[in-house]
Amino acid sequence: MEFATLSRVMEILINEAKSHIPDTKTSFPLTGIADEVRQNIDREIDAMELAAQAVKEHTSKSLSDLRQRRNQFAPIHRLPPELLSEIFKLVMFSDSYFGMKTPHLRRHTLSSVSRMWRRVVEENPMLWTDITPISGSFVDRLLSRSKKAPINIRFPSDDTEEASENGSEGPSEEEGEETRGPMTAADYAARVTPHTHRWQKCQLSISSPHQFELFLQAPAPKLEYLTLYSDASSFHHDNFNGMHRFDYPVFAENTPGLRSVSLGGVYISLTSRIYHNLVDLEFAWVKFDQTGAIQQLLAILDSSPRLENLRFWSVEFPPPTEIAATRTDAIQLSCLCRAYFSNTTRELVNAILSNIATPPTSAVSLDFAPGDSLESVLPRRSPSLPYRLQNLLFEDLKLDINSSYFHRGEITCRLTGVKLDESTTDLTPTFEAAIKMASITDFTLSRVSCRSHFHRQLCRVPCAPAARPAPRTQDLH
Amino acid sequence: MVNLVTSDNESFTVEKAVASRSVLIKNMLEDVGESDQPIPLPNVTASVLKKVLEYCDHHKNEPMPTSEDLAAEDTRKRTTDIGEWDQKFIQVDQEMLFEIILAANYLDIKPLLDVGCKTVANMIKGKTPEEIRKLFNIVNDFTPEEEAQIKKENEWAEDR
Repeated sequence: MEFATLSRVMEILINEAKSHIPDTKTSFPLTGIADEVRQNIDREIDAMELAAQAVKEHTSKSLSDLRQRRNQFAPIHRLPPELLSEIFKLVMFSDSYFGMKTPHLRRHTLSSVSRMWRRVVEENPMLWTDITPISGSFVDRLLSRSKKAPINIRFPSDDTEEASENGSEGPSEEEGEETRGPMTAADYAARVTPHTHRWQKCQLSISSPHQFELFLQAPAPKLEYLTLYSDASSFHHDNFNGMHRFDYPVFAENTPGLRSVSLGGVYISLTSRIYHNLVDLEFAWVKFDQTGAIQQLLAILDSSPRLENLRFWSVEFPPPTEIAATRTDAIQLSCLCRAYFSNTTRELVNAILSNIATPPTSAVSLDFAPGDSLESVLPRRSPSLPYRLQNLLFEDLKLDINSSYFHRGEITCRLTGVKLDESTTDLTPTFEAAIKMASITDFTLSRVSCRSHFHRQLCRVPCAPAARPAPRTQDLH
Repeated sequence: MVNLVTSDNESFTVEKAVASRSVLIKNMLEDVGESDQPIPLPNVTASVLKKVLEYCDHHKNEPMPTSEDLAAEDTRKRTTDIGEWDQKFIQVDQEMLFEIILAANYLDIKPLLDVGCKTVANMIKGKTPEEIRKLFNIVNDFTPEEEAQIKKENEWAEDR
């Protein structure tokens, strides 16, 4: 367009605008010529402002459209929306640190880049599956946009906690909903439980057993990850007071896809079907007091041949009966990566380690009290342990020493099987025992550092595959 | 050996094990049987196919991902970690990166597609919308009204 024609265009626009402005002459009788002139000028001004506004809006829209067209030719937009969507999924849900905390913030960043990115984000249900409990309407929007996709339930989320601390409200809504504070567990449960059939992950950290119960009633056939923690503020770690007991059938015992169970301060009977065929199992601050609990635990391990991680943290079991001690067939855990025992009874460690057969690459983490040695802590007979210790091909034996909550020390020793070039006087009895058991006479102690005197030691024994096949069961001595 | 012909009419003769990293080509070979006929790849140029074949050649002895692997990857938390060789391989300009992704998608080479998508995801991570626009030569095409709407919807998020 030539600029010479601009004034003509404006004139047309202004005349058009004038037709939309009411003629006040008919409404208010004039008292003089000056009034009439002034009113006419006012009409002209209104008309010009209307025209200018229309031009501004038109220009703005046209510019946006032009920019959108330009964006279509950006190299990244050669990728079809489905691939862009896959990339967004990786950005949203991969475990690397993104510099922002929650999927909600990540999604916001992605959808603020351009119209096309916003459309891709809004049209992919998978990007709306983290049901963050910020406000009722926000949760409803997430549930709606996630359509039929599996969803992740989390209460509270970092967002909820921060919103609560800062006294801020959830995202404002298009519908102009009244603002409100962070959601309560009951409100969140009321909105998400009609979708239990879509739950894939469920992470709850709640102080009241009644509130837990609101979430755990309906079958969850797609549930894969379950984390239930008693809110630490109401839990006494020393005596298990405040531990929640769920004596009802959790999820109606219908969780065929469940692979990972992590319970903290929460008791669910070991006979529950939720423990079937697991890949990860963790108990923390739980007291199992019924007779036969260890046998039930061994049965869980037996039903989980693909188990990769087993963690016990401050867990109490009653002493094992003869049945556990004399079990003849080893439980084959060929995928086990790590068994971790901390602040548990010696009987539990013995009962498990003496009944499982693990691959040589798996590691075991154990607590040591002052005066303990590997000989005193590890079971005398085991389908796995002699194999691992007698083939001490590993390069690192680490002793991570927790002296107290305030001081941490570490000793890292590298065994190369060559010669000793440091004094052995600094070695702890535990380490000496490990060397003795491994029948190593010559080795190089390449690095020793210890920054504190210690009372408790956590000993990790990483292993490498051995050169010869493992005996099934063998005495340690 | 297998003869592949690109969209710009260049021929590549490669080992069957290399070409078969592409599920598309593998299926074609199985359908056609033993044949000397060249396989046309109308969606891939010579420069891109050269890179793709370099990847396939390097990974030719690795097991192909099974449908179970793919299903497990979908349900487990995915990472954007990339192997050392793959990282060096994918250090190309953006034009080539997106062409490799498109080719991997067309030829159905899932591991290569993964490497490409993870690379782009890693480029995006940790950046603000403006930084992302600058990186990918995108301009802000929202109208002021749309921007106000986005801001309003996410006031809460922007505050933290």
